Amino acid sequence: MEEVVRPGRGRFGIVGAAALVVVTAACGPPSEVQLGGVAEDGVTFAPLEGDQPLVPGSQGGFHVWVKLRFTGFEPGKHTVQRTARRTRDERLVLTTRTGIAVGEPDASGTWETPDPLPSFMCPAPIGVSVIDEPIRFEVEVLDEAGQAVAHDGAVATPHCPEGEQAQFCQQICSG
Amino acid sequence: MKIALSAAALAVAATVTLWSAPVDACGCFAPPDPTVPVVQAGERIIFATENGEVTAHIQISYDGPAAEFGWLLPLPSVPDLQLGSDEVFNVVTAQTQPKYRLNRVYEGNCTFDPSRILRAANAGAPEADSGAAGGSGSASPLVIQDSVGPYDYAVLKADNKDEMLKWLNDNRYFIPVGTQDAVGPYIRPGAYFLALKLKSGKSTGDLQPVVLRYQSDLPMIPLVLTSVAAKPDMGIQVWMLGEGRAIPRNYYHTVINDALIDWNTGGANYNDVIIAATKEAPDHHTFVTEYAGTSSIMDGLLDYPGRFGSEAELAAMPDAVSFVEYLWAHNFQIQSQGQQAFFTQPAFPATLDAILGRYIPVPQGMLDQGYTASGFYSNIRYFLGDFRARNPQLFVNYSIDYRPAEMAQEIFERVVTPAREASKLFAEHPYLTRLYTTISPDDMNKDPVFSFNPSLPDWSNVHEATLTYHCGSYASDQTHTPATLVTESGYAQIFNGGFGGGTFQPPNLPASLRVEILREEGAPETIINNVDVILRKAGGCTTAGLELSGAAALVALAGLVRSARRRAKK
Repeated sequence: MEEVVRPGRGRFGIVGAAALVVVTAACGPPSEVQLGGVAEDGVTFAPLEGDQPLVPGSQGGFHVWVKLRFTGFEPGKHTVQRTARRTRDERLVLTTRTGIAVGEPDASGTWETPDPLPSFMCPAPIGVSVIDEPIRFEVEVLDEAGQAVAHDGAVATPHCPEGEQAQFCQQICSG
Repeated sequence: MKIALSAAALAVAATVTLWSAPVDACGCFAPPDPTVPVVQAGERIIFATENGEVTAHIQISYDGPAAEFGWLLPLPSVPDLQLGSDEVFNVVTAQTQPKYRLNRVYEGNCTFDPSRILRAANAGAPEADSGAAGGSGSASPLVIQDSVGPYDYAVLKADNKDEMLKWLNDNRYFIPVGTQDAVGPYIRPGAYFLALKLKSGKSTGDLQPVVLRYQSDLPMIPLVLTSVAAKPDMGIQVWMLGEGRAIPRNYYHTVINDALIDWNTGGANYNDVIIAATKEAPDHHTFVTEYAGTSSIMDGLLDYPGRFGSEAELAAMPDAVSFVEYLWAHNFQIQSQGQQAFFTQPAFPATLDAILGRYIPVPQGMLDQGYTASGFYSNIRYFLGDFRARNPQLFVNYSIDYRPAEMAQEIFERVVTPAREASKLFAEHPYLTRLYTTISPDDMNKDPVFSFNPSLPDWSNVHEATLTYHCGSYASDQTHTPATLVTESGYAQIFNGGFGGGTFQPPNLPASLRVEILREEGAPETIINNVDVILRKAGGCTTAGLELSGAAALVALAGLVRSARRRAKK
């Protein structure tokens, strides 16, 4: 019996939630995906929670960096759906589908994305400021039929960087 | 009786030119003389997104000296750079071009009714009088330096503005005044700039689109950088390929008021309406949707069995004439559809003309006489045979450098492969959206980002209005016969003095029917709704070029009510 928990349907939404084990196939170990942020060194996996910097992107945008850990997945390309919603009104900030080539797991059976992924925040949708607003980030790993086989989520609050980028960030992230 | 004159309307629509000036590009032109910014007239980009990868076909054109061509584009990751195809822009433009068709209805005894004229002609006894008929750090920022097709290019790290600009200057990628400030938002750790210039010996005729693939969640146009060298009301045309209808994520969306369209000319003033409509949106930041629907409209147009033949066969052609004739026989000419085919001379893509021009040039004497490359290559056997024999003075110092293997290789690299790749792109993405806006440099302070909302409905590029002539017992002068125009959105205008005579005077109405926000889910959120304003104007008020009264106003209102109901249902 397979149970799939979908995001945004009231079954998830706890601030600072850690990994959520979702799918247990009748045979084989459960597949898990864990959504995290990035430590100050810019590389190390860290909980995605609390204040998160809006990191300047390359084409003039600002993003929240995330990392993913996959446990129980076969090496190979997997489709990952990522969404971000403002918690106070469920406004959609980001929905994107990415192909991720999952590599060989380590001794604990987990593979981690080597580089952080930018979660596109800004330019924000019209009227949807993301500055200092709690945002719920969710990730789903999809099977070939587009069904979620693993899911995780976390809430974090993006804030603009200080310095010369501050004004531009305020301008394009305030919706 | 209802006669659709869509052919005539289409012919006019096909002549609508949204791209009035010769420079098109995305990014920023960088001329060597920084005090003379190049005026950039428009951008045309095809984006496809899949699995976090953006593919961007970007059309570049430029009319300055080849040695002075330079182009900059900020990118989120080191791109994969390939050559694109001008032809794909020609074809996708034609396939998705907004068309404004006027269906004419003749009530009463209209002697200028074309069907009557036709019947009379067939009977050999014209009943219409002749006058009425027919009227109408210290480390180098360099990441990659290479060349592709006619371009030399460099990918530079964009984490230090001074180092990047110094490298560009040192390597003759000059930048115009204002770029120092404009590149500021794009200078980031981990970001990149792509810089292009023409290879030595290449002409501006060699310019062709480029195709970039890079990792990014959402496609974006770096308009802030573009503002350095843009012209007022610059057109920006975007095609988005994906799983559903595309939206401007951080720009508004406008539905234009089609009462302002000059239906009599097939919408010749379309761009003026767009310009007016964009100025009604907050911050002048808005796009209109021009087409949203299946991408299958591109099926079989760019690549199909038999097209292009084979490189080996082409390279084996024994002489210049047979080489060029092979190209014609295998449909290297620009593919056109429907009405356009009747009005355009078959021509090779500019890239192919440029390649041929280096080996089998058009004689200078012929160019001086006004002959074109298309004309020369389309009848090359005649021009290099009988014509040359009769006009030797036009061929003084003329020679052909026939190198079929090199030519064939370059043609397949720069013409065939890009067309096939573009064709594949349309086949791989089921849905195509065409968006358009005009924007002036002062308003280029926000980079538009695009996303999708698959729940939004299709959007046709073909629009129809109905013009009903009220001929009564007799009318022979089409342009002075009272008529009622009901547009697609339901706006009705009564032309008591006739329709179509003189210059079109648009009614004094907003250019936007609605301004709305399209989000990545859900229905549009209307923020400006001018339907009531437009209804009120039509309901008995006098507007420029329009007088409504009595029964005419009732007819107009009936049309508006029908329309309002139709819109409400939508």
